[in-house]
Amino acid sequence: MAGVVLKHLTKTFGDVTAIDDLTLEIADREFLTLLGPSGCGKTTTLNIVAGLETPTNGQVFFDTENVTNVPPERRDIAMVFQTYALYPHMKVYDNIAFGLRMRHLPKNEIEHRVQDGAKAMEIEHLLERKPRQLSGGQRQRVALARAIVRNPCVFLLDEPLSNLDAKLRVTMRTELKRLHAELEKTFIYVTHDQEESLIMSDRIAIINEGKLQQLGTPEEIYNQPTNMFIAGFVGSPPMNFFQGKLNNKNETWQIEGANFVCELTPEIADRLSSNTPNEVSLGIRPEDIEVSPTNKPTAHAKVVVREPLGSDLFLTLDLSSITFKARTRSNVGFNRGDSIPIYFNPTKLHLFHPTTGKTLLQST
Amino acid sequence: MVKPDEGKLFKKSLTTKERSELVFAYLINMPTILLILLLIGYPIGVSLWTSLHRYNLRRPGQFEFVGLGNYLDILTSYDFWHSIGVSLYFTGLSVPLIILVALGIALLFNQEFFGRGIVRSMLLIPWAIPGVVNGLMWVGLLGKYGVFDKIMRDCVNLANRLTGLEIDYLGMASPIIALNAAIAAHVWQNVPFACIIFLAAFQAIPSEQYRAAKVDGANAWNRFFHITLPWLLHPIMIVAILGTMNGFRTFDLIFTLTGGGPGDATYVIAWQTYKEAFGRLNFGSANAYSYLIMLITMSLAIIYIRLLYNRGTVQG
Amino acid sequence: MKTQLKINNPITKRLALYFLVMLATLYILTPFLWVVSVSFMNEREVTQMHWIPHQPTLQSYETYFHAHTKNLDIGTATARQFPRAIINSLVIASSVMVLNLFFGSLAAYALARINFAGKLALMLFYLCSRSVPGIAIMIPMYLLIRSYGLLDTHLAVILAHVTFTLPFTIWILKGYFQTVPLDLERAARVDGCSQIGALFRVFLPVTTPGMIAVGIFSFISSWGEFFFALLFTSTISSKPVTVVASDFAQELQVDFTIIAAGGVLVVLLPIILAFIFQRFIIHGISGAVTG
Repeated sequence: MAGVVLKHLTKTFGDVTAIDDLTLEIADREFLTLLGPSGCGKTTTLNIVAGLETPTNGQVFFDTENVTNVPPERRDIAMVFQTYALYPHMKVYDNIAFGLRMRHLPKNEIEHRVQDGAKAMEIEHLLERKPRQLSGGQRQRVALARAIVRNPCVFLLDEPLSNLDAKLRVTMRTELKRLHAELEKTFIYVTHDQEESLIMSDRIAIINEGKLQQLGTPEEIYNQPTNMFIAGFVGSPPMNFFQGKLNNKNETWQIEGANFVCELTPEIADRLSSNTPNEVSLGIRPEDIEVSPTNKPTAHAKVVVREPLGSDLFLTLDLSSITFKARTRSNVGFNRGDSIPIYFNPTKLHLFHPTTGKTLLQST
Repeated sequence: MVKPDEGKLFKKSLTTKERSELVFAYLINMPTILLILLLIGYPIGVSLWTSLHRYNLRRPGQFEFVGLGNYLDILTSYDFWHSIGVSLYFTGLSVPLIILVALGIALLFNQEFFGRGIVRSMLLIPWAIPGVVNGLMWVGLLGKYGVFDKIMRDCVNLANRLTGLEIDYLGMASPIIALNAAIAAHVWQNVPFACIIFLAAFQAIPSEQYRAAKVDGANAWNRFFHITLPWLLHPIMIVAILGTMNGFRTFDLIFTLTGGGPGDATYVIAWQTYKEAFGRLNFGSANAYSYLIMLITMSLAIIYIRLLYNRGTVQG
Repeated sequence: MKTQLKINNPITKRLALYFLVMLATLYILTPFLWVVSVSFMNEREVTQMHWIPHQPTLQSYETYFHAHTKNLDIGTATARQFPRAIINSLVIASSVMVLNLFFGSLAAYALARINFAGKLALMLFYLCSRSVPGIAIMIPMYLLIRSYGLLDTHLAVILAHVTFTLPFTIWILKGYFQTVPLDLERAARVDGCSQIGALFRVFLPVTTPGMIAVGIFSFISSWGEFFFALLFTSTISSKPVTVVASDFAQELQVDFTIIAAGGVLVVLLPIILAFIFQRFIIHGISGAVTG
């Protein structure tokens, strides 16, 4: 029905470049997330796909049709806004029906679709109310219903969950994922919440400062980040970084840090290219640092803060004035001030160039 | 965050969309622009031009260029400076009074009490009364059978009896009383509007600031001084600007209340100009008057606006 | 041991508050209430300086509406012009209101929503036109209107009023329009509206409160305007009620009861409107000041 292709999109506002040569292919029926920090250009990109903004350079295609200069009302899209953008002067029913009325659908068809949409979003009892009488979660459902009844090729969602309270957000994530599976349409989703993107997406496009950083499945992004920005952005608590020297001792590669030595597995060592620098940034996620390990520990660190979180325990540790976090399942012990052994899981190491931030490991 | 550039007259390149937006924007502004150019811009130009000529409607044939002659005559005339003096006194007394009284009432009406809503709606009444009616109203109040006149007489009699003096209350026939009565009428009419502005300003102050201050140990006076007052600076400036401009423009009230009199006690500059134009029919000179007044009021406006934007607001 | 300072007693504070509120209310209302009161008195009562009529009568009002009257001649000529004058005022003020709303909202929309070259210059232009005092341009304007043969017409007064109220209207509306979320129009466009369609179906309905405020504002301003109305009108065919009322100022012998009744008639409509729409007016002023 409609895959979306962005070709060399550039958008400047005066001196500021919001999007820089962005090329992206979104498959039909895919759930693709544009992920990045505030101001990275993801909302601008979405607006361009919607037709609400025109790019300074580049083109937008829906399937093979060039829609770059087509106004939004003639693109087959529906959009859910962060602020829901419900029409305050209309009842919920009219809000949902509005787009259908604009397309001059027959009256009973409209009635039919609105009722279906309302049922799908469980808001039939709210149809006669005005938006200001609804809660945040209800408004969001209305916004979704409004988009669903249009039955477009592409759904655009601009941070629709960020104004909801935490519990509702979690519920709605599952809702949206289910909706996507049922509707079988292309979803382009914008968010700054990396957890959200990991849970919901088929693929994630990470954007920073207007440039595409990496495009991949959640697993790829999480396990094989191509640069330090991505590595640090995705994952909570974020990845820890250490500076170290790359040595070759007795045929084994190892990283020598301020107060630790860490051996590289052959698999990882193989992936190092020939022009790997001597100084590297070592990245390791908190869950890949074993506390009180069975193996020989990589180092001993002092506990600075302990944060119990249900079944997990997060420890902020200090190793020669470098602080980092480790995650463990255990709930007992490890008081503040304790010096404990830790072990870096060698199969989960990430190596980055210390200045460019790019990964030093060639992909498998 | 990205910031679109505003108002640059010559941009390097305009996309077709931007160009069509520009055309659209100017198109729908055109009627307003034309109206203002025609009815304000053009007259300002003509006003300047006429003010450089001697032109009296009684001798319409004569239209003699005198350069700054009119202006010199005015600036050396007693009438002009007298009216400036009257206006300065009028405005100089009115504006602070308006601010103080309105502030007081606003503070009062900001408290919680029964009937507060009704009382606040009352504020709109004086605002809705046209200036001429206000004048007529005070003519009645201070006239022969007016209640305020009676009150004044009683007060003066009381004072006489207490002090042994023999002041004769002349009412509106006395220049001093007439001028101050005009001020009283003007203040009365303008206080409620200023009050509404101040009340709105009060609403804008976040209550957390008061709570934080209370926790820090501030008493009511401290809280007023350090929290309320800074937030009020902006609206006070606005009221001051509006009040000053209105003060110098006052005409309706003088027309009905005093007619400029007694004598020329209440000849404010607007009245003086009116007399010059439609009394003496001295159009050339009247235009010069108008121009001078415009220069005065506009410089005041600029001064005020400078002050306003330099101080900035508490909100940022 | 003496009881604590009575001043801090909440009951005393309360009483003091109510007392002051009463004073303030009296200050605001007395002049007007007295006039209303006098308008219902007969001449004798006025000379007796009553505050409230003991024998209320409508005879002062009758002078305005009856073809003949048993009252004195003085002042009746002016009074009989009132009905026509009120109609003139209605025509003028309504037209001013409609024109303000139409042209003002268009201009304000462009200023609020579109970034175009010269926008700042235009805003400054409007701001300056707001600060020009009427006296400065009264003569050229008078001559201009005269040269177009528009003296003594409604149109002349309407034009003058619109010229002076528009910049203020645009200023208020611009600020107000900027508070409408951009997403609303975006949603409308995605839903299938053109740019103009979004303007009329979504934007304008949402801005109704602000438009009402501005409409009432311009109506009441126009109704109460005197200076240019005086300048441009000479006969009752176009004289609005403010000009006719000012004739009373020249006629010193008129009973004040008649003048009082006239005053009430003049302010009746604006006050009623102000009351009905007070929420909108106050909202509008608050927005313009604090926004």
